[in-house]
Amino acid sequence: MAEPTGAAAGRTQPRRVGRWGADRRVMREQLVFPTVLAALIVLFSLIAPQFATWRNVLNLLIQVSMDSLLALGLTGVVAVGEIDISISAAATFAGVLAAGMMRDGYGPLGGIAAALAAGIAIGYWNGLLVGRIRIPALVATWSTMVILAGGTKLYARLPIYAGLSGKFLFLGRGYVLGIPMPIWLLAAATAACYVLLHKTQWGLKIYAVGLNRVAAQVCGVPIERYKVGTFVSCGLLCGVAGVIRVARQSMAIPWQGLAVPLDPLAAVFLGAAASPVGRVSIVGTMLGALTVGVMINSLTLMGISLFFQNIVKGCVIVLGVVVVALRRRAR
Amino acid sequence: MQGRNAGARDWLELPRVLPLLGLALIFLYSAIRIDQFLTVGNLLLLLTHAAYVGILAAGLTFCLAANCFDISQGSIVSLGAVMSALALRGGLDPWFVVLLTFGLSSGIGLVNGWLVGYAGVDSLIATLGTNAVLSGLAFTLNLGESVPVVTDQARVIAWLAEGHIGVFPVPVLLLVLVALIAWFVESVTVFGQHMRAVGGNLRAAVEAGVNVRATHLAVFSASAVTAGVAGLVIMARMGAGNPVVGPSYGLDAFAATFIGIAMYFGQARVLGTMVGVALISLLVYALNLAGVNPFLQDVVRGLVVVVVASATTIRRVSRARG
Repeated sequence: MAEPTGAAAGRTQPRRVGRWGADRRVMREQLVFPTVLAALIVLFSLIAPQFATWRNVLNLLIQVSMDSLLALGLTGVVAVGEIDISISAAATFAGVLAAGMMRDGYGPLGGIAAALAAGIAIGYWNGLLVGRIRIPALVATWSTMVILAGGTKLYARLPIYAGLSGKFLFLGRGYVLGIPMPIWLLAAATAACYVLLHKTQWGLKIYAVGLNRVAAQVCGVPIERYKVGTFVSCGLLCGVAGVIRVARQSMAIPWQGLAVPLDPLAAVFLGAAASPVGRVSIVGTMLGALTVGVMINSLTLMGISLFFQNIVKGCVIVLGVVVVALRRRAR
Repeated sequence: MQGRNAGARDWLELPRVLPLLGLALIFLYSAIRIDQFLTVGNLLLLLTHAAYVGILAAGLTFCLAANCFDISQGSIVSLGAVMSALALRGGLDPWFVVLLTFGLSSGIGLVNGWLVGYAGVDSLIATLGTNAVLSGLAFTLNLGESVPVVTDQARVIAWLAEGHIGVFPVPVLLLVLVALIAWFVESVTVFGQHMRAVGGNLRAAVEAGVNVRATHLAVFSASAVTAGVAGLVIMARMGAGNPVVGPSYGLDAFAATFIGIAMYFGQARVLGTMVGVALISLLVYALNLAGVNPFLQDVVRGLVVVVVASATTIRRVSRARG
């Protein structure tokens, strides 16, 4: 089956690195994506005057938070050389489960614990199928997605409103120091993922497994364990994302997001494609997620219908990935 | 994925025995449960339903053989259905509508193939992107409404869906035709070999002088054209171009192809896919018959794929250990 990370893992040339950490070209390359993002933001603020208001910025970040959490988890999975297309379905399942538990009187803590446990269990199941039984990741996580899609609707036919207490809703709608809770949670998750993936030996080994499995094995990295580990942490983040979404919407909608998720995948791939060495990273993923978010937000502000938004979004994502891929090819 | 040449003994291996055994058991169950099951008419009806998924899956097999993933198939089905319905309602000649569907879907396939082969975008993200565009188009064209069509005037298209040659319904014959062509291309032609070379080891294929880009263009066109044709036939069958029909067919096509891949120990082959199509269609039929909740059917579908896929890899691992 495909090395699904072709764009991410493939073309990594060893590059001479200067004394101060990076040579000029790499530095320049690193600035391209933030510049494009900044240009987009300026452009949209000119087109839609409501765009550059504090309120809308917070709104945008809240909208982005859920897909970003999924994308953060996916980053680890892609770094280890696999892919997970069940993330969105896992988040929905976890959220619906949390709401169902709270409806049945287990309280906010019980609901959150159930959602996180479900996320971890789903991640472990995926990791087992991919890491241990060695089913190709696309096949394995595809089947997980189908199973979860059916399972979620089996568990709840209709949206669950009842039993969501104020304490629980605080997670999605509350403010701390003037910043909404989802943004705090996203910031915390981003920081944790950044440290884990880029500042610890675990992260180094994750990249090692993804870049060259055999070499990593020879060096004594327990590959299966690292694969299972990344899937589990991805599952955990899916659980968090599911909880946040339910808390923000004040209800759990069982038919939301049961397909292959476009936005988180686009965020990870855009981030990887735009990085100088074509490798996934937490910073790249967050930049990618912000770009997608800025685009959706401004399309909504311009009053473009949801169906048509899909067309524009698909075009822009394809265009973005193509431009980056062609630039890389030209070098 | 690693694969190897098929031999007679492979048919005794678990990944092949399991789906075939499942197929036989479900068949037996249905034959015992219903009186009218083992009539020619009923079996042909069953085959007709399998035909749509089968046509889709035949194209998808090419894509997966070249180690590419085509997520956009489901929305090509929807778009094909809506577009052809709109064209028919607009009074275009039915033959022209058939041609239009071919042209449109092969165009979409070429775009997908260009993205993967020429621009070098990962096939998953490329087709996910085009999938968003196409499903958006299918929904915006008629503002999300289904397009009703009266096929009385359009003999060709009505014939595609409802016609018979002898006792055989046309969709079934269409499936047989598509499967035979696919089998021929895959097993006899040089292109088939190139396709598998690209799928097996891209770098080796490039070194060996295989035209990788052309191969990508071809496999994505195959998968898109089969989806477009399926959309046309489904539209004629339902008497309406409905933008929501596509994804469920796409899902079943994936399930069938994945089962086929497992049966060939990691290689996508048309014969395996067709067994997968039979298994999935019969499974859905039997589950409906037994009155199983449709959501539980999704769960079963996913589990079947996991079990068959596990059988392949467990076999491979146990072989490797001795």
